[in-house]
Amino acid sequence: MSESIVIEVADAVVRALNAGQFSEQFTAERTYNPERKLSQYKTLRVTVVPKGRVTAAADRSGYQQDIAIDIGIQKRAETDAEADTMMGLVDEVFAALNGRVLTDTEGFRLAVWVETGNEPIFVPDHLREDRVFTSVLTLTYRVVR
Amino acid sequence: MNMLANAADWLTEQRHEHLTDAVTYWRGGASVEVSATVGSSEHDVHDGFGGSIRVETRDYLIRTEDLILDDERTLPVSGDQVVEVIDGTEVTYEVAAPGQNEPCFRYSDSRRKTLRIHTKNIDEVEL
Repeated sequence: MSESIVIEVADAVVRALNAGQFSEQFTAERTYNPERKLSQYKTLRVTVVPKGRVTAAADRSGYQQDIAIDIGIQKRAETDAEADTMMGLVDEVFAALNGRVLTDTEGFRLAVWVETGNEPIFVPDHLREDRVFTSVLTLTYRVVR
Repeated sequence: MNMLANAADWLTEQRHEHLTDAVTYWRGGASVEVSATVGSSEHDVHDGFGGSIRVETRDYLIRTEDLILDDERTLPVSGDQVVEVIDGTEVTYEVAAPGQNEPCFRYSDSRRKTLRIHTKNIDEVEL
């Protein structure tokens, strides 16, 4: 059974994140069901979840797929300073993945970056009610086949 | 004191004697061990990208007179912590309002003998 191109791209994002150098230590993971207990956010959580796919003709014989991947960045933040630190990490991840070409496990070109969104920049309800900082980056990568 | 007030006090003492577990109440570096009656529930908060955060909430009922920190009677404040050991795991609950514009505690009786303190589970460490 062949692997979904969506999963290949999501896993490539996970590899890119885990190979990166960031000011805060984390291990990104891909999941279908990002559900955790509040107590688990003592540790920084970076979660990769496929979000959407748009397919269009690329030329007479091929087509392209724009695959959107969500990256959730979450950690307990008890003070504004801790939330600021997390905002800094969001910028680092943003910078690390913008413009990047994703490769497969053998190093071959898999997908090229199209755009990045950051919506929400943070979730006010999480911060106010549960002291959890949550920011979601949505990266879109294009695969041409 | 009227008969109903006497009955309420008796019930408070019965709860304290027979329906409580020992927990430690913390504020900064100050703490006090108190006997508390515990009620808990869980709910999910949507995380913004398809998943959820599972929040375990606990209400602790303790006698108002027992909440003494640094030799002074006090009332709960958001951010205080309640620590208890459950099946070999040290579990920390943070005092927090259950919702926006709600207090983190309320009195559970008209005579203010018992506090109902709202908390959320924020940490677990296996001992």
